[in-house]
Amino acid sequence: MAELKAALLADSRRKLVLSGHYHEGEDLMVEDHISFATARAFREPPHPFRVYEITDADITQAEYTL
Amino acid sequence: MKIAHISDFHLRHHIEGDNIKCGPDLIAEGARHIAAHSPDLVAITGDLVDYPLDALDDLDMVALGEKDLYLVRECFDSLSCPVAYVHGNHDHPTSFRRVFSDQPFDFDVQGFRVIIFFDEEGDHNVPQRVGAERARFYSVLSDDDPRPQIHLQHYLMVSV
Repeated sequence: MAELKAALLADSRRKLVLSGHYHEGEDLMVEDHISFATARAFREPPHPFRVYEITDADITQAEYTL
Repeated sequence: MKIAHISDFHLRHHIEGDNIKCGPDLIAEGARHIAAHSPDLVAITGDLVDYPLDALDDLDMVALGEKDLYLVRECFDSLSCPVAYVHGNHDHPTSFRRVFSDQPFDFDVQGFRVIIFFDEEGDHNVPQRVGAERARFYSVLSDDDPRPQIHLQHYLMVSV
């Protein structure tokens, strides 16, 4: 996957990469023109989900729980 | 552009289990909470169900797992925005493709190009993008489509 990440960074278009799998999650992080975020597992209390808002200028992350 | 992101339900309802933390009622409640935010897109990034990986060829178990996938889908079908589903390492890939056969893998939402990728787990549990998925990935990076891209996938791009 590191090779794929390098390819993402080499392409100049703005991108957001959303993933799961890692139950602890990772907050939105920005590297050059690419943003990465990993959702915390909804399975685990307090059952979180996220909302990202994308504008021309930036991306914000808010996390909510049930 | 507003994206709701929810992941890793590990649902077992028709499939029995002794460590059930997330049932269909909880997922439905999550879908209702998400709807209240009026997102333009919902991204569900894998492990929708907690399919027993030692029973991939057990037809009875496959049928039960498929019922659980339909339960997940029913929770989100009423949302008014696109819902993008990715399968994870705990989903049965063949069942997933059947249940979500109408899902596009490359589509537009408000001028953003949304692309879903399906990865596999290789040796030593290392995720990998291979075959047609790998070719598709490099294709979308090399074409001349100017839209910003949103990539949806189960695995992280780098290990933590």
